[in-house]
Amino acid sequence: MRRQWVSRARQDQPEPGGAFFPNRGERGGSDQTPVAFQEGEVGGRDEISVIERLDRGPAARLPEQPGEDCARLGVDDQRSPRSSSRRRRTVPVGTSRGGAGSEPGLRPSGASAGLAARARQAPRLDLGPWPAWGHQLGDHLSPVGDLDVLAGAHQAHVLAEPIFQLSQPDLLHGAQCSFIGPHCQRSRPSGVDSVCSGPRHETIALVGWRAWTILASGATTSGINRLPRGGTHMSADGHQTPAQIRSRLNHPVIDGDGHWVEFDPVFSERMRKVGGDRAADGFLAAMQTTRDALSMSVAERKRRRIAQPAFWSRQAENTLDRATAMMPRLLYERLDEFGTDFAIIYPTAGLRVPRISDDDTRRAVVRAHNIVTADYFRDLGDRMTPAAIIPDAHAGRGDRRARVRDARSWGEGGHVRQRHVAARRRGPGDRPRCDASRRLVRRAGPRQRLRLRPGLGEVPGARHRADLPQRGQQPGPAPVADQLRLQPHRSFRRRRPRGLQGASSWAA
Amino acid sequence: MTRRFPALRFAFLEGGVGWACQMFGDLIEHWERRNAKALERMDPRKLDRALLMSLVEKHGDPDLVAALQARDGHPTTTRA
Repeated sequence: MRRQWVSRARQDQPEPGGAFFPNRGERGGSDQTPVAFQEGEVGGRDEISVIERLDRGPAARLPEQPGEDCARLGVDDQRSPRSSSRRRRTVPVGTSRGGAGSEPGLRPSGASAGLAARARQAPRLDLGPWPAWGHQLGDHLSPVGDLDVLAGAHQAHVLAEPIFQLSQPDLLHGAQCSFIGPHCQRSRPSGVDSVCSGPRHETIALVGWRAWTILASGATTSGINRLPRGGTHMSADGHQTPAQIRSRLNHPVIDGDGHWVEFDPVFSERMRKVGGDRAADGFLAAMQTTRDALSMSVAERKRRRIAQPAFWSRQAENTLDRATAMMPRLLYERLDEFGTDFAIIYPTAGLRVPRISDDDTRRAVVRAHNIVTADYFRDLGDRMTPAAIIPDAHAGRGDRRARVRDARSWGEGGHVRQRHVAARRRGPGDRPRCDASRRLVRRAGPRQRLRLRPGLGEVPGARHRADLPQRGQQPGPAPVADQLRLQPHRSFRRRRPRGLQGASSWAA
Repeated sequence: MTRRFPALRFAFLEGGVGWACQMFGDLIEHWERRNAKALERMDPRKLDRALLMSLVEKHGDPDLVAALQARDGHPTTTRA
């Protein structure tokens, strides 16, 4: 008789948050302890230093010795008898195996306890300009005692990137610390110190602290996911409103990948006031790249290896959502409607700012962008925090390999980077060197050109892609636009992109 | 590597099956947002400029109101 498989997650479904604890039953014990942030730990935008907050926050209440803690809490560090993989090292909140000494609301693990021990033993840090205190912070938080190798730690260009990684299970500590510690030491140029103080400095501390607070206070990993992504809620509760879903959860919901849309004309003028003409004009020039790309001929775009940029990329029919993306204050007022307790807000226009090639301009733009962004969110800090931008270490530098690596791992900025390759040509017969960047893009062959033709056939009289609807012109019918959006996948399906963070969310 | 250093402990970030779960959700989410019919919602002609202006006047800063009024209520963007 064939046995019907039923996932444990669905068996736990009736319980609050049951879908988020798929292996809770194996550990024996119900998990009804509500997880709540203490007042002032998440939210609040005071000026307390990071280590001070670590000392008096949940970290100070974690057990002293990681090893003893694991043994006392019953965390099995050995291999599972039923599989070759290690068991998860986390402990459900409030379980009977947590022991009398475990404090409700906390979910201590070996890694978090190690972090806490290091944080307590660490001397108080004077938060100086980046990267000095950042390195020290990394030394305190890096889980050296738990992990020897962190594979797959990616190049992060926006500061709060580890928040995004919180949606990944089990290795939250490693994800967080790999960014703050080794990544910064590896990629921060020494020349940006004086540029990156100010709001970025502040945001680093707050973001880093909040991320760590989430871990220490025992919030589930799935709770950090942006609903309804992943999990069983998407299919089972697809017709519920976010607020309804939120009402059934006993843990906070944090949007770790929120974005707002800067309104260029206003944002640039504010940048001009705080950063001067260089900052504002540099910002507007960076924003101009898309319009330039859309106005290029196919031949020019092909020569420069510039992809077809997107058009119709902003919500229009739902005007309220469009306005919400433009105004952080309106987004703040709608957080309850979205079922979000706290949101990390990333920039949109600012995503390309770190790739400005000129060092001085890049630093001026980044600094001004951070200042203006911080001002927009200044009064909203109890439920929202913006992510600051750090200048790209390799932009404008001679390290071509590093730039190529970045272009591959950062899809949105790839076309900006690849301009440099074509610009190195000296004459008609002078071909670029066959370096790594040249090998990134396969030469367009006959089959590829054939694949481009169906899209052109949708528009009468179109002989090349420049004849197709472009931004700034009268938009064409939606089916044509949809077809164009699918073209890169068909045309370059033989390419094997190796970008990290390759989830389809970046395709939007 | 693992034979030479059997005690070495590895951790792979963003390399687990967790990405598949998230990608599955994202595929559905983005298909709902980006299919041909849904793309029509992005048509700039469908923007209710009067409603946008009223929302900006209520929730936005004066400079945003002025900039939008100068553009006849249309939030012209210069990027994708």
